[in-house]
Parts: sequence; structure tokens; C-alpha cells
Amino acid sequence: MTSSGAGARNLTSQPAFKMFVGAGAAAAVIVPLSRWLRTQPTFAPADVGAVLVAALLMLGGAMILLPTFDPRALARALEPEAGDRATISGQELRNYRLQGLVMVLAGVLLAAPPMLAGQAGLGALAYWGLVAVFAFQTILNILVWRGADTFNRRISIEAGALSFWSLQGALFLWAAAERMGLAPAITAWGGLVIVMSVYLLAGAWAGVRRLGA
Amino acid sequence: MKNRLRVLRAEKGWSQGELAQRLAVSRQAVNAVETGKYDPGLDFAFKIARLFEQPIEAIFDDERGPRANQEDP
Repeated sequence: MTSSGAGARNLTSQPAFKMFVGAGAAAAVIVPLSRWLRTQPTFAPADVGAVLVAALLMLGGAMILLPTFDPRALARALEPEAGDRATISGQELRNYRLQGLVMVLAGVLLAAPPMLAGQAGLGALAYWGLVAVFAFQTILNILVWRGADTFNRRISIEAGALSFWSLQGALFLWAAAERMGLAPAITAWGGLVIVMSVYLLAGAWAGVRRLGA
Repeated sequence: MKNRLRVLRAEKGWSQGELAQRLAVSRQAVNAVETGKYDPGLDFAFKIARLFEQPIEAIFDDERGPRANQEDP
């Protein structure tokens, strides 16, 4: 390893660098996707939100999943100070793959309804396909929870608690305004997109807080 | 809460990954404890203490605890 190589490795392990790369990757997906969404006349604002959140989920999942196919590089990225001594266990790889797959599938589930809604003849068949994917993703979610240690469960619990408190408050305020004729009704689909968006943000907040990205 | 986990790990010459495997926890958990972003629960703290064969209070120092208070004038 040359000193310039070590310098490059140190740079790529910096949290700011990782955030910069992540933001760049997100922008590379979101910008062209937003342009395409604007050309879809059948998409309601909730559909646009759903597809954008789905893209972020799939991108995040891919960023967790893909590095697991090069375990040595992943081990070095996770623990730069250990250099070539860095190792990664089979259990760790399995957990990363499960987490990545769960996120990718969450994105697929969120993007599918607006994409499939306009397809004539798919109707009930597409819906039951979604149910099957949802059941599979739920099983993977349970496996992620069972394979997690107390630290990772703590992050999930904090993200869940933050989501619940913020959404409960927002739902109360919106429902009260709606009941008093001051705000329009929201659809179940619109509500779900809001829930998923808030949970994505809450998960990112909890992760950054505990992992210091 | 302050702790000496990073120092103890360095004395053994273990990477975070190696320590995580010995403790049967994730690497992120070890890193979060070392950087003070996560205070471990009792189970986790006892595992660490047993692995390094030291009492818990020799590894973890609750600055807000009785010892800190005794140092106050």
C-alpha cells in the first residue's frame, strides 16, 4: 500500500465523503426520475411522492446490498484503521444482505401501485402479486429483527418511536382541521406515502445519531 | 458515559470486527460504544467485562455517578 493509496483510503472512509457520494447518487436517480414523473399525466401528487421515496429506498438498499459481494473491500471500508487485517463474518454479510433486500423490496412495494394502476387487465392479479411480495418482505423483516443485536434493535425502536410521535401529532392536527372543514381529506394512499416518507427520515436520523455518519 | 473499550481492544491487538465476533454483537455496536454514541445494556456490559476479565466499573465510568460526585468540592 502506497501512502497515496492510504490517503485515498482515508478520504473514502470519511463520513463527509460518504455523505457526498450518497447525495450524489441520490441526485443522479431523483433528478431524471422527477423529470419523467412530470410527464405522467395519470400520477397524483401522492404517486409522485411514492415513486420518489421508493427510488430512495431502492437506492439505499442497493448501496447496502451490492458491497456485500466484495467482502474484503467491505471489511476494509467498515474498519479502515484495521487495513488488510479487517475481516467480516458470514453473519454480518447475511445481516447486510437481508437489510438491503428489505429496503429494495420496500421500494418495489411502494412504487408498484401507481405503476400498475394504469395497466389494463392486471387488476386483481397484480394486487395478489403485491400481497405475496409484502408477505416475503415481512418474513425478511422478521429475520432482520431476529438477527439484530440490542444496538441495532435500539436504532429501529428509536426510528419507530420518532415516527409514531410525529405522525400521531400530524394526524391529529390534520384530522381536526379536516373535521372542522379547514383542510381537504387525504386518501389512504396519500397517508401511506406520508408514513413511509417520515419513517425513512426517522430511520436516517436514528442511524446518523448512533452511527455518526 | 466514558469507557476504556478502545484502549482495551488496542492492548489485545484486536480489530473492531474481531472484538464484535468475540462479543457476538455487530461491529456497529462496538464502534458506537467506543465512540460514546451508545451506552450498552447490562448484558452487553457484562459480556465486555468478562471478555477482558475486569470489573465493569474498571471499563465504564459514569461521570454523573457517585465517584464523580465525590470529586466535586
